[in-house]
Amino acid sequence: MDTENKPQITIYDNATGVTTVRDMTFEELEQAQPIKYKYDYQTPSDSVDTAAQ
Amino acid sequence: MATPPDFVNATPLDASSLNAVGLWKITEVAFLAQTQVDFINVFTSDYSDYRIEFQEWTATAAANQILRLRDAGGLISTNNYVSQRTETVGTTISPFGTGAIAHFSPTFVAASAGAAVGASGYVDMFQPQVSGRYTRFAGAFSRTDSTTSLYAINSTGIFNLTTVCTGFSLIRDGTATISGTVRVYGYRK
Repeated sequence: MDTENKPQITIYDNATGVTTVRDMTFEELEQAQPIKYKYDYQTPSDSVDTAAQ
Repeated sequence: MATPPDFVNATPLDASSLNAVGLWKITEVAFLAQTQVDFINVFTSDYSDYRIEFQEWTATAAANQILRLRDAGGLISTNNYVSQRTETVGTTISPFGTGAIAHFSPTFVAASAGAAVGASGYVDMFQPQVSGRYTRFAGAFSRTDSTTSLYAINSTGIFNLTTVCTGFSLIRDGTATISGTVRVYGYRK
């Protein structure tokens, strides 16, 4: 995956008042888009799982 | 008129008056080329209703935009969100509706192509954190596409669980990224 195209997430937490921007984890992608991400962001580690869909 | 605040010339405002003043800005977040934007702990017992203002919401690919509620455990991704909206362009009115799916779709956004393309508007979120109540939203957007057509969007939705929601997330559709500025306000009771 190209570094420039890594999915990023902006998180604002009102409890702390802090906004952070960072790369998304694979688990976060799965939770956000449980079907689509498998096709958009295939990696060797999940290619078997994707093929089984 | 008993409705506060009681503005009296040359008299300092007291807390009880200020605490009852209309909308209170909770936060403003500007984001660029994001996959997801989380607003955590923005729905609290301080307010029952919220205004979420979107300024120049853009996406790198045309799509129905995704808004998903959050609870203490994170994103609520169950199929309990129903959205209805209309888009008016010229004299043509197009309806859009979803059954119960895993997110709200408050507006469509055309693929970004400079400053002319985007959507600005708001949704009012009703009672997201009130126990025993469904969460509803209603709102409106002004959006344009690359042909500079202007679309008037009226939008509404319901999350048909009584979950106590504590925030929301904006999520890109497909492989697009989203950009814009979002302000969250609380309505004083």
